Amino acid sequence: MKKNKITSFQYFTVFFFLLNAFIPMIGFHRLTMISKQDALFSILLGIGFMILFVLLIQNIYHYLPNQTIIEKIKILFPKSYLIFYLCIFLCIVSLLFFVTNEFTGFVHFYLLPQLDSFWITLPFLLLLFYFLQKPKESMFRTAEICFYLYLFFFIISVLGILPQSNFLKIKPLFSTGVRSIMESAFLFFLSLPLPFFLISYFPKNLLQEKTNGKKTWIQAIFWNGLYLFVTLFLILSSIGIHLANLYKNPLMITYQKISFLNILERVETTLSFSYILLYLFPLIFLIYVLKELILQLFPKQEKKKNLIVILILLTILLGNQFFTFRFDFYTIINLFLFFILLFLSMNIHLKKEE
Amino acid sequence: MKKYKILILFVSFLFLTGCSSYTELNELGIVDTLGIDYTEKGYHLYINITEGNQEDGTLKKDSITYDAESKTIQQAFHQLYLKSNKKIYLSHMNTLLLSEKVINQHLKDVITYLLNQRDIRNNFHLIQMESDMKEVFSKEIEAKDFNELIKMNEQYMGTTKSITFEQFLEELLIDQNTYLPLVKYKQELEIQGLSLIKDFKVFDVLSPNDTILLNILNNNIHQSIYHDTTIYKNQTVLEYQKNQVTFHIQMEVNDKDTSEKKQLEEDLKELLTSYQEQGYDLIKLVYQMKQNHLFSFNEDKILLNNIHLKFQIHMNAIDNYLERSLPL
Repeated sequence: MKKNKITSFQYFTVFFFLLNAFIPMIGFHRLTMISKQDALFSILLGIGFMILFVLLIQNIYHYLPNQTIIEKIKILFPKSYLIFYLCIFLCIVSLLFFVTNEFTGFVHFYLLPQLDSFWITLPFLLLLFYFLQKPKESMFRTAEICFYLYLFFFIISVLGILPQSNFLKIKPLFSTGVRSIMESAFLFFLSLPLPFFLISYFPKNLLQEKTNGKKTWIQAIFWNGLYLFVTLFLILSSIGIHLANLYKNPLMITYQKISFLNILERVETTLSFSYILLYLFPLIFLIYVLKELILQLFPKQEKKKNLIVILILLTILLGNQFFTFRFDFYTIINLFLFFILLFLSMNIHLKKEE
Repeated sequence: MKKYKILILFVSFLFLTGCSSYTELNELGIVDTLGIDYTEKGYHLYINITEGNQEDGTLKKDSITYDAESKTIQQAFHQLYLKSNKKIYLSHMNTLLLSEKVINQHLKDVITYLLNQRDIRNNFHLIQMESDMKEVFSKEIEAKDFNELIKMNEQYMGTTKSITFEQFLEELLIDQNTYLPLVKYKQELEIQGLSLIKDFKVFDVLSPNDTILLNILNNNIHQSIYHDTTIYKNQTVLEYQKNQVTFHIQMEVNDKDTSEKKQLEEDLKELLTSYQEQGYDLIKLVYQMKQNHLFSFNEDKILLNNIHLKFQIHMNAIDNYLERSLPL
């Protein structure tokens, strides 16, 4: 195995985790509120939209294989790149606040209700600091290890929820109409732009093998979609559509029902570990990209990159105490990133034609 | 770089001591039963806390009851916390007893309060208590006694039906109709049938006999005795056709008496139609029709009163090898 290179599987796992962050960021209940049980079809339809979108903008990845997406923007728009940088900077900073906010809220509500949010965020940010000291290949390797753990927890939860399932609760299907299905499919699709932006930040030549990035993306989108489909199917069949719509986090309510032979019960806290991974990877990659963006803006500060990371983390820590964000905010930022990616892809296409 | 590592290591150790807010197990007051009543003064809460004490080397189980009264449910809970020398822990609560008054006046508030408590789980049982709550809690009856009584009667008589908070919520969310097992305390606990809830109020009470009929319709009978007929086994399957529902009931009984069969059919029909006329969907027929008519169902057109009911009862008498008769 070559050092400083990442395997396509590690690349896949990172993209999978970033996509899977749909669960805590957007959440199943937002899909089921729009299209009830038909949200299952929305996920299938959303997979199609996602694959179409990545096929459409894959030229971003193939264009200048040694450069990061930030460098590509500078080359593409030598005069107006600062505007792009500013937009991306604002998007990333606000997303950092949003994700940290969601993470703190989750841990505070389900795991450590009596602990102040400051003390929840601080050790987590220290962990992030440790990660960001490591070379980027280590982050990908960590994702690979965590993927096996995540899969293990998924199998455990499926085995636990299946006996509680009543497949009749899935009925009636097709009760909400095409418009609702399309609406929730689009909402599901909006979980793609941020992961795609973060994963396509890394240059093509970082991959160890000369693998086709397109294939890895499609595999990650497909397996993530399948994972979410199975999870939503289990949620609906065990607690039903009405309770799924009632709770912000129906998956945790479903975990509460798990009981192995009436001996092993109350496993939701253990299973919620997998949830923490879904906050961890977006945060690591968001901070990493932000750090790189700052370094791109101030290239002479290369030696002070640790200081930059510390400043970012301190800003998150303090910002988390004062700001709270609505969910709409996440979708709006994703929509904005969607247009940025589309615009970049179009420009690369035009440049190639020239 | 080493400096950072040492710093991170040092700070991390501070967090390895565990949560600052941890509670020892013997400092927890694990609530077994919660009772909510409503009086002129407001909410009256009762909790039954179970604790184990070591005496002469043996573990002795003790049960302590606290009660508190206040205008709001939040304040009443706060009062309870002031009285207890332990941290009141609701996560292991097994049974919630509700009085008719609190159901009729503040059921929505109670549900909202319970939904917003992070340490409350959804799997506790709900019961409507017909007797004075104070008397019930003074007897230190454990949740296990309530739950076992309901479970046994449901399983071997069909005279009641248990319900968890999760089921209760789901039923309410479907069409605002649900039920609660009704229990009375008069020197001992006694099943009184089912209390029907509609629009967050007590709508009617089903007698134990009517509850058997309801359980037959819901395919929820394991064993029962209805009038003179002993039911050993029952299976009810519903068949849906446009505006008609046919109940195919297959029973294994002690005696194949045609008059009993007719009587049962009449009773079932009467029970369903009487509630149908009052607009109470006893077995959630509209919802079930919606679930089973995938494309042809138009929710707005189907009204409870328009659903035609048909019954097909098949009674099979099973051989009773122990049957003896006195030679007269």
